[in-house]
Amino acid sequence: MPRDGGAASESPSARRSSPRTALAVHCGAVLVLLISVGRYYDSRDGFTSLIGFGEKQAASIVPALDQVPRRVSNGSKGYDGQFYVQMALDPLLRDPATDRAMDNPPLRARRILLGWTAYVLGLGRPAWIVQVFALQNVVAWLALSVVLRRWFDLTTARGVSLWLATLFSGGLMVSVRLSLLDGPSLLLLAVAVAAAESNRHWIASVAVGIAGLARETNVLGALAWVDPRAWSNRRAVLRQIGLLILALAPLAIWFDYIHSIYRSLIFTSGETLARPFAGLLWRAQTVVRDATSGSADHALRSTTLVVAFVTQLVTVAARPRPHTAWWRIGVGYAALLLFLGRPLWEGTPPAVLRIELPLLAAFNVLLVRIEDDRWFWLLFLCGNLAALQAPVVGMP
Amino acid sequence: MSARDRTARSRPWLWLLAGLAAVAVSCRTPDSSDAASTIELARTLDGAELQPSAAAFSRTLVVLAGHDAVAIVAPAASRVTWPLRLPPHAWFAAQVGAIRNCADDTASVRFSVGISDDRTYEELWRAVVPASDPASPRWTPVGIDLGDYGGTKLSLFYQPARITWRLIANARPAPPSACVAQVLWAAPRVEAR
Repeated sequence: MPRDGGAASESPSARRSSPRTALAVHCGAVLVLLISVGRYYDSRDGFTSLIGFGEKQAASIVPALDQVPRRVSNGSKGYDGQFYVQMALDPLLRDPATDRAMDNPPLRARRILLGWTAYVLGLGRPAWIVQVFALQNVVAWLALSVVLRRWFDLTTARGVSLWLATLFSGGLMVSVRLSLLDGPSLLLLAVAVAAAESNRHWIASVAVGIAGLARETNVLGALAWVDPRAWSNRRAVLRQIGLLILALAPLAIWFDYIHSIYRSLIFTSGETLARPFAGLLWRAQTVVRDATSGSADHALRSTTLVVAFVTQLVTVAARPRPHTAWWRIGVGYAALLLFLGRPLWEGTPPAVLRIELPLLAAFNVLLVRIEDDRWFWLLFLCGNLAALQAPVVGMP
Repeated sequence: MSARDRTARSRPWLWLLAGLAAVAVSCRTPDSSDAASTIELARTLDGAELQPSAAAFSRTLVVLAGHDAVAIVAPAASRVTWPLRLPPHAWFAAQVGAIRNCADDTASVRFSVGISDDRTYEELWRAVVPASDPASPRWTPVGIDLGDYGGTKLSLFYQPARITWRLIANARPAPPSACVAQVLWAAPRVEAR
């Protein structure tokens, strides 16, 4: 399977620096990330301020968390990481107290993977589990910085720009800052794409199967190898069906398990899905509303968001490359983007930035092949504008 | 290729199909054996949890479509919880009505029926029913498919036949009017269809 991006596909005019410079860039970026994360360390609470515990949820925490030192934001409702970490303390969700600690137990229960990894790496000790949970995104970011170099050549200005824009994108920074699921999810999808491009489809399938347990939308990663052009004979079709079953099986088994607890409630999605374009158009309308009401700051943020996603959508649609895994994944997430409802477009930064990280990665990989420098930099700037939202959550 | 060869080659598929059919039949067997069972919930009121208090509940005979039926008479704000194991293809059926004790035509009651396993509550049906005059109660039919809560399921973990469910019937006066005297659950039953 062809590999998209990389040195071979760079603009012919691209000037290359030495591998030593590339290493320095990589080390510099890692240093920036670690310094940013280090600011959230406290000798008593460790890295728990990365989880986003809120005072308003403090009354309904699971008993195991009660004795764990942790940073709680006064007067705050906290953020999603506080729910997922409590699932890590009860990884099979056997305790009804876990339900009482959640805002939406059936919805959260679907996304168990990081709870399991934190439980295993924390050796089942609540205090360790919480610290591990807080740092999983940092580890995933570090691993992703290595994996992404497969597509982004750090000896060129373009490659460095795309690599940095992906790693320090608004969505990924929010995921690191608030210990969410999206950074590790992107890592697993990137591993799946890399495996599929190397014709290791079974590894890709396993990676997507694991990723599906982190967030159900990650099963779109199966598009890394589901390629209708490869259905040349019955054997090829059966092979792809087998790979698909392998990728979907972990999530199917887990859904079967949580269905035994929450039954039909596991299929509720609230207002996260809506009619096509409803969320995007709503956010576009807020640009006008905020601008006319004198809230220039909000209008600017909304503008960067809308411009970034429209650029990504148009680029993916206008440059069809069905033979490449990232393009197919980009199409899958572009389709998902159109159906995301208003709650995911609200807030600063909004959840859509995290959920659509694979679209951003696919977009940036597609940009590698653009020959014309002016077009490249224009699309690069527009498509990555939402990175400006990262400082809002206290990350670089 | 001879006919015998074709038969020999297709035999594994035949055996597989026969095996799958046998499994399917064996899974269905307990369903059909319980097909006729009906649980008359008005008769099992003594085994139910009654809120606000058991003393506030009673039974009466009403006429539904020309036939006598037993109805549970309950306060306007009340809850009945029946613990029960559900047969395969279960179906809850009842007629609900509300009786007012004033002339307010807007008086109404929010009825709901749900199911719980002591951990997860699912609301299965709800309706706002206008209260009527005691002399001529108006009936609203309720029909709820409980098939997901009984029988054998194709699941590694979910076996509802082993669960004692809590079938919960709720009523509470709908604002703004609160002049509803009583609610009636007429002929409440769980049928195996």
